[in-house]
Parts: sequence; structure tokens; C-alpha cells
Amino acid sequence: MNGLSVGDLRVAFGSVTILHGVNVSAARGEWVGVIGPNGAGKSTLLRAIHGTVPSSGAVMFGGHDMGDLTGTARARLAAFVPQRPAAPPNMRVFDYVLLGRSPHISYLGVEGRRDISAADDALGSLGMVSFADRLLGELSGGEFQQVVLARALAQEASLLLLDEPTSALDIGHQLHVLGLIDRLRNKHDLTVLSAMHDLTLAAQFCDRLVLLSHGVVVTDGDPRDVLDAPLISQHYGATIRILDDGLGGVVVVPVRQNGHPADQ
Amino acid sequence: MSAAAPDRPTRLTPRAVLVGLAAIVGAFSLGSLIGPVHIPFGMAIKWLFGSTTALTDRQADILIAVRLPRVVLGGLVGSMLALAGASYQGVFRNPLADPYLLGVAAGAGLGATVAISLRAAPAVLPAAAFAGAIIAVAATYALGRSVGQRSTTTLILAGVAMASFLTAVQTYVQQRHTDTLREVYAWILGRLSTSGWHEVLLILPYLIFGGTVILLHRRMLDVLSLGEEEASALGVPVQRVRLLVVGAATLGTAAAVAVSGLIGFVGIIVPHAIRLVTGASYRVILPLSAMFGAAFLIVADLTARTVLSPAELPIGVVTAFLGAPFFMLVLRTAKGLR
Repeated sequence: MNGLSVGDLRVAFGSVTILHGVNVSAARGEWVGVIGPNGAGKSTLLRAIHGTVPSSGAVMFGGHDMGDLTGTARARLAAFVPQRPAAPPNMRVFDYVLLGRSPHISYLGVEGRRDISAADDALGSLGMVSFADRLLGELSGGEFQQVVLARALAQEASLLLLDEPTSALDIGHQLHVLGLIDRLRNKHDLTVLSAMHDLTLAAQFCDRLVLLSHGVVVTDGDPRDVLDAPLISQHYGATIRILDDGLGGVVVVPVRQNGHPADQ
Repeated sequence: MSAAAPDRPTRLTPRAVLVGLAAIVGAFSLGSLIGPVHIPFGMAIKWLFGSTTALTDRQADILIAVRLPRVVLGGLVGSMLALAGASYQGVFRNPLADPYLLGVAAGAGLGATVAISLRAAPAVLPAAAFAGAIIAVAATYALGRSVGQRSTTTLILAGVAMASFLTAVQTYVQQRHTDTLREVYAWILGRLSTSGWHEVLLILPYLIFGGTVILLHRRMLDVLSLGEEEASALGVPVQRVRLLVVGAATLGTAAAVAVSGLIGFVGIIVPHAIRLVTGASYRVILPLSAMFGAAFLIVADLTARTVLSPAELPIGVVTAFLGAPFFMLVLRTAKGLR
């Protein structure tokens, strides 16, 4: 099956153009990270690919032209997780995960046995079966993020569009959740496109990075090539140093403009 | 692994249905037996099972032609208002939304005021209130759309503007016809007065239609609780769901207020109390709201017509007077349970 291919994607809200003809691709099973400063258009790119904001251009996934599909058919192919998913506090975890089955259920229908077992399996894949009867309001940030992933998994879509999936988590939970995403994509052969804020983690987990700035793709390639100090500094408007972590990876360090306080 | 039984989605439990039915049967019995002419419970049951001599002719007449229609009407109106309130709260993701949010009450109020002020035939009053309610909500929708954004906030604001405008016109008409002031006022505070089964039959089709459409959307309302963007990312046609549910709730509410006037609080308090006790799923909230809304309004009406008997209190006063403390009690208890 074919992966994701986005060609000349343009999005404008009124007279403001957010994306100026973006081209992005991801092979089947590949994890591509979209990086770039705030306002670069990362979230809009994910939304436009999923069709929740109007756009022009071509979005192909798995041999389908996403633009030709109904909302339900699109949702069976691609799952979108926003940066801050809604968490109705009194909703049971199991009911929440089951909502991921919506694209597989007819308009006025209710869940069948197949949907219930898919939700069970999704919770199982994330080791969250014991959470089924908990309420969303009782979960920690890390637990909720895993439940959100379980919902996306229950959707049984082979493209995951994640908008900064770990932005609300501490370092330990960031690593844990990103590790889970990596395991899930290997297990289920998922294609992942995620907007990423933490460049060090992006380099560690993504197969490829796309640097977006002012709605244009600046560069696209292996994380070690994309994370070039002058380039990143220029587009993020900050001094940045890229260090070798000694394990084959890189560490991205922001540097305070006026030197270290201890130097003054 | 997977030795554990598969988990189940939240569903209406048989126990909850039994409790709801018990509430309705209890309220129904009290409402039909208590009044100026006392009807003994045991005799009424015997009469119901075929013993025609168990009640006097006068008692039987009162039961069939006066008490039962009124109790049934109260149950239907209470059920519809609670159901409409719950669905508005779901569609607008706003716990303070009530069935009057988009101008139903103001429109019905204006329609009724015009009909009463012009001394139209009694049959015209419900039709005028119904038409006023439907036109008001349609105008709110058109106004909300004309702004361009399709957000619920725009729609709510349009509803606020429409309600204020229509209330201003209604007050003007009311002040111009001071001779009918009392009658208009009484209508606005709500009353369940019936002439036989006429009112029940009049609104029944709208309530059945509205109630059915709302209940069929119970899963959709659960998806909508994730918000517009996530719901549409799950393939749900958010605009269509909103239009159908709001349309059904409006139709049912308009029919209910057309014969009962503006009864407040039921649409907010009943679904909330249910939500506090049962959790967030609309597949539980909707049916239970319908059941307890019915029971609540029957008891409120019973109170309204007995405390100052033979005079009647406006039922809107009773729903607020009983409803607010009851709601506070549920609020405290539910907090203790969590």
C-alpha cells in the first residue's frame, strides 16, 4: 500500500495565507516529524491533511485521494489527535476509547461486538485495561495521553496525525508516550505524521523531519541533516547549539542571548 | 492476558429504568388521586381492573376527564422540557443551556401575548405560541448563519439578541393592552390547565417526533461532547447533527410551551441532577431525563394546585421553588459520593 503524499497544499483563512503550497510525503510505516516555530503552520498542515480545514492541493493516502472521500471514510483512514484533546471529566475511559469507533458505526447506530473488542484491544495494546472504568477527570496527564492514543488506535486508521502529542507531559512521560507511539506504529504498520516542539526528541523518534516556516517547507530529510544550527537558529529566531550526544544522536540546546547570568 | 470479561460501554441499566418507572408511577398515582375530590387509592385500582362500582360516577368522571388528562399532560411536558434541555446542553456543550436558549420562550411569549391581547378564540392561543416559538428559533438560526461563522457561540449570541428583541416587543404589546395583563402574566408563569384530552392530543405528535429524533442521536451527542473539531475528525457531520437535534428539541419544546406556558428550571435542573448521579453518557442521561422530567412536573403541578386550593399557584413558581433546593441537595450528595 502507498504511504502519504501531500502535493501543493494551500490553506488561507480570509486574506491570510497559512500554507503556501506545501509538499510532504511519508512512506508506509514511516514516522515523519513536522518542526518549525509557533505560527509556522504545523497544526494547520495536520488539519488540512485530515480535511478539517478547507484547503486546495492533493492529499493522497493508501492510494486514495482524501479530498474525494466522505468524512467517515477519511476518519477510517486517518486519525487526528489535537494538541489538547477534550476530556469530559465524567466520561468513562472505556466510553471515551469507544468514541474512536465512530467512523465504523452508522449514523444512528450503536456499537457492536466488533467495536467493543476493538476498544478492548486498543486499551490492551497500551496496557490500560485496568483503567476502563475510571473517569477521565481522575487521570494524570500522562495516563490521559495514553487513553487518547488508545482512542486513536481503536479507530483502526493506518495514518496517525498527532499535533504535539507530548507537549503537556514531563520528560519521563514524554519519552514513555513517544516510545509507545513508536511501538504501536511498528506493531500496526502505522504511518505517523506529528508536529513536534522538542527537537531533541523529534530527532530521536522520527525517521525524517520536515522544517516548516511561514507556511513553506524549508527543508526535509534525515533529522541529523535538518537539525543544522544556523538553519534552526534562523527560523526559530534564537541562538541554538546542536551537540552530539555521543550515542549517534544529537541534542538541541537553546542558548540565552545575553550570555549566562553567572558570566555577568 | 484477556481472561477478564470484555468491558461494556455505559448503558441504561435495568435498575435505573425501574427507578425511573417507579418515580413516574408514584407521581402519576399521587397526581391522579389527590385533589378537592378525594379518590381512594385502593378503589381506583379496583376500578382500573374492571370493578366499575368501586368509584362513584362523579369520581370516575373527575378521574377520566380532569385528573388523568392533566397528569398525562404534565408528564409529557416535563418529559419534553427535560429531554430538550439535556440535548441543548449536549449540542452546545454548555451546562447552562436550557430549551429556551435560542428564543423558543420569547417567541412563544410574543405569540401568546398577541393572541390574548387581540382576544382571539381560545384555540388560537396554542397555535400562536407554537408559531412564535418556531419563527423565533428559525430567525435565530438565520441570524447566526448570516454572521458567517458556524460556531455555537455565534448561535447562542444570536439567540440572546433574538430573545431580548422579542421580549421587548412582547412587553410593548402587553403594556398596550392593560385589560389582558393578568391573563398574559398567568400564561407566562406557566399553567397546566386542560379541557379534557384536547391538549394532550394536540401536542402528542410533535413530542413523539421530537423525542424520537433526540433519543436516536444519543451516541452522536456523546461524540459531540469532544467538541466540534474532534467530532468531525471522527467523521461525524457536526452541522447536520446540530441542526437535527436542535430542530427536534425546538419542535417539541414549542409544542409543550404552546399548551403549558413558560415553565422554567425543568430543562436545566432535571438533566443536571441525572448527570451528577449517573455520569456523562447521553445514552443514560436522555432516557432518564425524560422519565424524571415527567415525574418532577407531575409533582410540581400537584403542589401548584393543592397548596392554595382552590386557588392555583403558577407552576413555574413551584418548579423553581421545589427544583432549586432539590438540585442543591443532589449537588451536595453527588459531591459526597465522588
